[in-house]
Amino acid sequence: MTAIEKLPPADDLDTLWNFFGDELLRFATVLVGPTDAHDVTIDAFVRAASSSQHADVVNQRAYLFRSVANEASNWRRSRQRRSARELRQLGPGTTNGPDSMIDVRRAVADLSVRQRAVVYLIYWEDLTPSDVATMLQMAPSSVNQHLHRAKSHLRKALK
Amino acid sequence: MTDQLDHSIRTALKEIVDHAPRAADVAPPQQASYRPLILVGATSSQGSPRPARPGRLVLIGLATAAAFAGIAVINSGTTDPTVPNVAMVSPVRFSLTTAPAPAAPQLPAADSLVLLAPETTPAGYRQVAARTQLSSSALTGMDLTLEEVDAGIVVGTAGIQADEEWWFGKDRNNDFESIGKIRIGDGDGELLRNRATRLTETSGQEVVLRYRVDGMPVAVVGYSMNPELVNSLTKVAGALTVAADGTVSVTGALPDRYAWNQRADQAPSEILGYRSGASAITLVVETDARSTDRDWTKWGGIATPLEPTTVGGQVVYVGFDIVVWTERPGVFVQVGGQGVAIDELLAFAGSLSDIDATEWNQMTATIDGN
Repeated sequence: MTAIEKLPPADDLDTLWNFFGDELLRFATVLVGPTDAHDVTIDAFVRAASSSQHADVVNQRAYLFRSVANEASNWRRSRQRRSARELRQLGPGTTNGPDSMIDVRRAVADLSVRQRAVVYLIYWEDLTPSDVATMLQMAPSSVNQHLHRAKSHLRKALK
Repeated sequence: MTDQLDHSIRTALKEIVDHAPRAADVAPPQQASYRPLILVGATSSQGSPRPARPGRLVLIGLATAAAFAGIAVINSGTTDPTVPNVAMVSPVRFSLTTAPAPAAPQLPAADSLVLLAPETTPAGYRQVAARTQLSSSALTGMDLTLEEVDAGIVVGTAGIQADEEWWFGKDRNNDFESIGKIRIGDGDGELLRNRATRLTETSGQEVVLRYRVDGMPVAVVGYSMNPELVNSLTKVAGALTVAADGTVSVTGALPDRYAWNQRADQAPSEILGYRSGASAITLVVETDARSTDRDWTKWGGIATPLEPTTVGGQVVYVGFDIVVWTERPGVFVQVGGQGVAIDELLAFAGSLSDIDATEWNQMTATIDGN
């Protein structure tokens, strides 16, 4: 969907949800995992919808993606210690020989929320770094930096 | 290598995304539309008098939480001698004499909430402070804002008394981190419930704590119940009428006082239901770990006391020392404490009117200043 498509009214939560719910949930799943994705998405959704700025938002999709990303950042910050425990429980690696996919997933989980967001939008949504910068309201250089660091991290996971 | 990396990233993303919940399968967002509710309570009402600070975790009592949720809180003015400072500065108490809770407040913009009951002893508060790097002023109840708490887990307690070692974790070493493991659905909640059972059996105290529900940053607790109390509650709920404008009037006979702190072996223990939105949740918990009997008809003749009951055309929830976050209008009756001065409460309830957020902030600021 592009920004020029007709978007639902900003104050219609149900319609917005029907419109964007699935892709926001996918995005949130990448950012915080499937367990918390719903909560993050819902919180972001309502927070965004109740914002005084919402009525003036031109690109609601980008606005909601940003909201989810921000919510995920907050969410993850408060859960870092738990995440660390879970990662420890996940173990340092595989026991049956190398499995690059498992390692990459683990490496993805180890990325920062911003890095995950950038990776997701570029690799899954096929956005350009410039598009991502617009969507997340980041400087293009920041997007490239996040992408570079994320790929470096992921590359190591493949070795 | 780049191609391989790109492929691996896309494949990994697909595997992750494949586990994403579908919008059609999960509760949609709901924008809370609060109206004044009444929370008749209780000992588990006290907490931090401070309003929430954006981005921070806030330590609050149950009724305080309710106040933030837009429930007009009416407190019996219970003073727990073990936490006098907290009790004295409670906005709940404040609201009793000055102003109702806001009509449409914002939930605390916190990472999460920790709900504490005053039964958490000073030692318990100190543990919280120690584990969460609270300032020492937290112990006076004047600054309970936390910077962070592990996992954002919300915990409420009631009737725990001196069992902090249980309260703060599964371990007897009071590992605060362990509360991060309290999560429904991953087994830890059950484990803790079992622990609660043991405590109940040994101490005669009811309990309980919890949790996250669907990840909602809210938690709740319940006391054990007894038929007399249930009867009292039923009468209270049934005696109140909430008009469409939110005003409350007494249209029935009221019990003189609530029964309190009766035997802990007479009530079912279940999470009876919840309804959650992003900023609103109705979570109704009644706990007594000894019994799994859900034949509520035993307890005061209420078949399903947590089913909403219509009173005066409004929804009334009868609960048992419960925190309620609800977007529904109505009356919520919370139980606890040594008794409720019904006349006083209702006089206040009758004066309920909307106040705006500014007024609420001023009110809480005044409390802080005190």
